[in-house]
Amino acid sequence: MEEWVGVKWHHYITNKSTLRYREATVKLSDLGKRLAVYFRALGGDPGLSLAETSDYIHDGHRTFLQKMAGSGVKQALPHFHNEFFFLPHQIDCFPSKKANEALYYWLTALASLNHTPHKHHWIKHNQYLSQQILNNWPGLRSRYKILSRLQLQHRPKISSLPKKLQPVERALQKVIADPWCDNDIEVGHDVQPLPVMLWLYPSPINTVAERRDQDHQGDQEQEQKLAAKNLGDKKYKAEQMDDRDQGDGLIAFRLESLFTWSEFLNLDRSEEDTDDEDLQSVADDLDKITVSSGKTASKVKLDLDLPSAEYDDVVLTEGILLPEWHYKKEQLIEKQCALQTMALNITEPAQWREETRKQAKILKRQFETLKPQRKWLDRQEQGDEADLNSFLDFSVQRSMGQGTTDPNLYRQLHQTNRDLSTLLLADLSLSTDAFVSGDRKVIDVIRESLYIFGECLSAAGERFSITGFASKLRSHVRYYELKGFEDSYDDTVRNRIYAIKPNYYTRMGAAIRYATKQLAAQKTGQKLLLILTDGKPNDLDQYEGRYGMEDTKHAVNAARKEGLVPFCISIDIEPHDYLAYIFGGQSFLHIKHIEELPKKLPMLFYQLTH
Amino acid sequence: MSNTSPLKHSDSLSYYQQQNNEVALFESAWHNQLPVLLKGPTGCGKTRFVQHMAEKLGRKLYTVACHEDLTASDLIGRHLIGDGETYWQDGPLTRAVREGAICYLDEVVEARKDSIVVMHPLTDDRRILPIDRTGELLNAPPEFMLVVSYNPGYQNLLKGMKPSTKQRFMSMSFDYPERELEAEIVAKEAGVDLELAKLLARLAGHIRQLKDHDLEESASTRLLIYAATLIKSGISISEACRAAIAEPLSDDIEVVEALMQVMNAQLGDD
Repeated sequence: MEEWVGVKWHHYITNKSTLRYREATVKLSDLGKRLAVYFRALGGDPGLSLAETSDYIHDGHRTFLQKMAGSGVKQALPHFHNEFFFLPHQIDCFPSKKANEALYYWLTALASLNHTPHKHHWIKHNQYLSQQILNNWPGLRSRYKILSRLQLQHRPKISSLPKKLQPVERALQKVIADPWCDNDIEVGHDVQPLPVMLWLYPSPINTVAERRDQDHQGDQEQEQKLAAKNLGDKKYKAEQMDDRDQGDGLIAFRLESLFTWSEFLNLDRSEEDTDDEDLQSVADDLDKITVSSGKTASKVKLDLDLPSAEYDDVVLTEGILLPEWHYKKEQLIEKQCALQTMALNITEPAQWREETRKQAKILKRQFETLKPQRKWLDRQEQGDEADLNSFLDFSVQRSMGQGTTDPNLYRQLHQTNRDLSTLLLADLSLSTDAFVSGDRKVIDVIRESLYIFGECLSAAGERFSITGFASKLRSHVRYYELKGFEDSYDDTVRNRIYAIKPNYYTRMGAAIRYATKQLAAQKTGQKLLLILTDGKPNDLDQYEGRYGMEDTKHAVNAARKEGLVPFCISIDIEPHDYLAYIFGGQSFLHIKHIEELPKKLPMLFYQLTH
Repeated sequence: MSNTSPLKHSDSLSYYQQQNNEVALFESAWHNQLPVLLKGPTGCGKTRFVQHMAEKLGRKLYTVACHEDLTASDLIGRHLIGDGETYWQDGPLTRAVREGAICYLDEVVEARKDSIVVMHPLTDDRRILPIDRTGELLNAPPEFMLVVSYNPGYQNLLKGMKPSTKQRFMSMSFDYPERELEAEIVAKEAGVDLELAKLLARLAGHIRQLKDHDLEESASTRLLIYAATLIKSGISISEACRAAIAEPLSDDIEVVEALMQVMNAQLGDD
């Protein structure tokens, strides 16, 4: 009974103290794509992705009721962090769905100016941003009027606030009502008004870190443990968080939205990729990375050693030097990467699963019919021979007075020559070591896909090459040629495909540049570069996040300039935005169920080229 | 020959707003008997430009919209079987050569490669058109000009223009006009006031940022003119924008809605 009353009281007092309109809730997951397009159309940085943020502890003043209910401590605030623009995972602060939806669009519009509000001048900065947006987008003025009126209704009464907060709140309300008004108010550390729903905020991760620095005495040990625990929990949910941990400020956002660990770390990695780098020191440093003030879990294994020579694959060339695009410097740095072409160590002959072999056989038969043949086309407007059948039809019709003006009376021997070379570049990085289902790994699926792809294309008489790549820093980009353009598709090639294994990281740009060279040397009119990958470009050094994406994008564009047609097939878990950014909206395909890849890959090839 | 449209020279030239120096360049190409290739996205004014130039130079214009089944005989001509006999019918290309007109092949990459080859002898210094079927060899008069156009952004993996064909032409790149200029064009073409046209042009500028990432094609000047025309005839702004801009650009409901939001942000809800 006591518990029951407790629960009821909690619900009552929470509802009373926090204004939420549950029936008017709008979820980001329903609007996400629209907002992303809106963001980019208004001028937002296309390299950024939209993500959900969960509730955060804020410093704002709470009402008596909120304090009593223990609520209102946390609020989801829109902010930028690294390559993401974070929006609340749901908005329910206004009474109508329409208004809450409009609020999402308004926040996105503010963000499209690509400004993070200054942490000490956030009122002024938001005022400036609002002015800019309302000037640039006059259509939003009427909407802003409605939103600001609603927001003002939901602000605390000035008289109910502590004395020292009153002038700040008064000025703030004036700014909300009229972004063009004069305002000189500065907010000190001690007086923080309640967050304004219409505004952007500085990244709470930094704020949390700062607050920690201020009251340094916290139980650091405890916090680190919590941090490690939370950081490891990838399924961390933000919805209706009732977590009372004070130490979880670190988990500032949903981890699903991150692809790599390192993106979360606010580090300057450029120094670590100096020319005279010492691999060991890189590894050492990595173990010492700190997130905010808590140490990272040292169990995250970040470096991988190269295998000893006797177990390693055979190096064929000692380093082909390739350039790399540095997006911050905006220049192509020559001779930045060394690429080695490698031959796989073949230890056992290929043994394909019965199922795979069957599938290959069926698809192969279908592709055999695509073999270029010369064939007679009937009813042509011109041709080498008269088409007697159609002439007969035509004569009969004419004698009946129904002759067509455009009779097709010829037959033509039509050459169906294919003027196409295809290069398939597969990502063989360590991430493909993940399990898909049962005991099958991503690499197994890729292996079978390459096999079936090869069977089909060789049956169709296509000119093609199959290659793979992996990398360990810029000095070791490994490029495996499983089947060259000149090789015939035979058991040697099948064994090589069977022998592929996951390796290191994904320095995609260098691999694409080398593949581009190979493909551009082919003397066919059309050149198709298929890139098969399971994630973002990344490597151990600064080649991650934006840097890797920009370099890959540059390599893809360079391939396009060479007259190649790049196309990416992604088997990433989610169809992330970065694919469109790197390859262009029409040049990639995301395969949802990776198990379908072996079947889909040849079909995709067919669709692309026929 | 349903796809040819000889234009009569009229006193008033059809409206074309120059963007760079394309008019002078085209004129000088015509005087020097160089074939011209126009590159540019859909609806940026390539066809209108050729029309305008043909009228300006006082030449007849033969336009052929190329398609996959376009054969060489569609361009050159063919024997037709008449009443008890056959007779020869000139194709648009042959007719243009005979008359010293301008022949314009629109979206030339759409045509089959083998039909494109027939224009090769016309595009070098020989300027001849051999007609195999009749054994005739036509020498193109100095007034004859060959103009082709294509849209390089067009995404079909295996359809592109052969570099060897491309090299035979003097090339001019077209793009959507600058914002101010585009507004003028829209205002003039659709007959709306400049303020509205400016808003539409500004909107188009923003939507064009989405090219490649979210949209296959960007909003063309032609679509803006459609939207302006609809608005002029009394359709509400947002309805007109939806029908003439958002819907034609994407089949994805979410993208269409996002575009509508962008329009509302620019033009207001009505």
